[in-house]
Amino acid sequence: MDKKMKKSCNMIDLISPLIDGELSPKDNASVLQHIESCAICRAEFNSLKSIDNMLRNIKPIEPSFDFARGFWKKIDALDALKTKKSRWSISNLLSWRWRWGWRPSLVSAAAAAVLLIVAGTVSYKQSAPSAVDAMGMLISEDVALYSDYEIINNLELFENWEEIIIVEEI
Amino acid sequence: MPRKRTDPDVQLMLSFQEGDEHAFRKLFSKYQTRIINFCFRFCSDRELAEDLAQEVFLRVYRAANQYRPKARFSTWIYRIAVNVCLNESRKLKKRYLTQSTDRPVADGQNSRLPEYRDENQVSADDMMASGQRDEQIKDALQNLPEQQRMAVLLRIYNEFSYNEIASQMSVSQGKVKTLIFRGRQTLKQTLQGEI
Repeated sequence: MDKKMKKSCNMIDLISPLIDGELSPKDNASVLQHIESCAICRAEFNSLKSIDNMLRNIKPIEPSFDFARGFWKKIDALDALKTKKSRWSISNLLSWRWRWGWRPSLVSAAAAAVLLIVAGTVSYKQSAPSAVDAMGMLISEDVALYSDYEIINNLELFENWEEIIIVEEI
Repeated sequence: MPRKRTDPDVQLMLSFQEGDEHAFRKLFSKYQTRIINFCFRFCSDRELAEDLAQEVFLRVYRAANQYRPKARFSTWIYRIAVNVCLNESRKLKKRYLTQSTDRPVADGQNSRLPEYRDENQVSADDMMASGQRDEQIKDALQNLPEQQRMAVLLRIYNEFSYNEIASQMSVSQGKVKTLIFRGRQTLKQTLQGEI
């Protein structure tokens, strides 16, 4: 054993984390074992433990009687401010619409017009005459053509002249 | 198993988040003394400590919607307390620097410390020594640089791990270890006669 008193020890830095339980299990065991044989580290360990105890023994203070009341007053003030702000922003929004109401209306009108045009176009295309109806459409627009179509439609009647005369009389 | 899931204070905060104000009142009641004392040990001024503590709870109240239980509730609330105290300390420093030319010349070692009266102290002879010792210990704490003081308070009084303290102070674990080590060394030198 070294009888000459050491003035310092290279493990002294580990005493603080040892007290705080922040060493690994291996280091913890190693430092604890070291302390048993090292007077310097043992003195350091005892000093730091004493300081911790002294600090912890200082009497804590109790909250003043109006601490909680003062806090809830601040909360009420905060809530009142929030309510005021939300009312302000609603009224601000309404006045904005009053002052600038035509702008959103113009935009809405334009959007509606576009929609109508699109809807109308779609509707027209959907109702556009097919090839089969095209002739019918054409005939209905032209009366003369219609009469010719009647004749063509009833061509089988030309096989019996007597029937043609009857048709003409009708 | 993550501690936050079994932490009853986390459950209370989540209840408050859903609109249960009674849950917040429970948290307030549980933590008010601790937070006040944390602030008081940091700033050594009772009135200021209560203002700071109220600010801490205001921030907790307002943060309800954004609260996400990533750690124990106590870790979170003390993180807020650390921020509030350090912000106040910076404001005070700024004020001190701008007023320094008008301040009287320091005439004693503790002249820059605010006056503290312990209203609970009985002025009997047998209590005098204890009271004086407490004063010396508080002065020694106040003389620590604020980061060392903060780390020492979080460790010694609240027994947070180095990892938690690192999160609360936004520093590395290594830095926390150094701060606490140095803080203790300074206290040891200052309080040599008391140990």
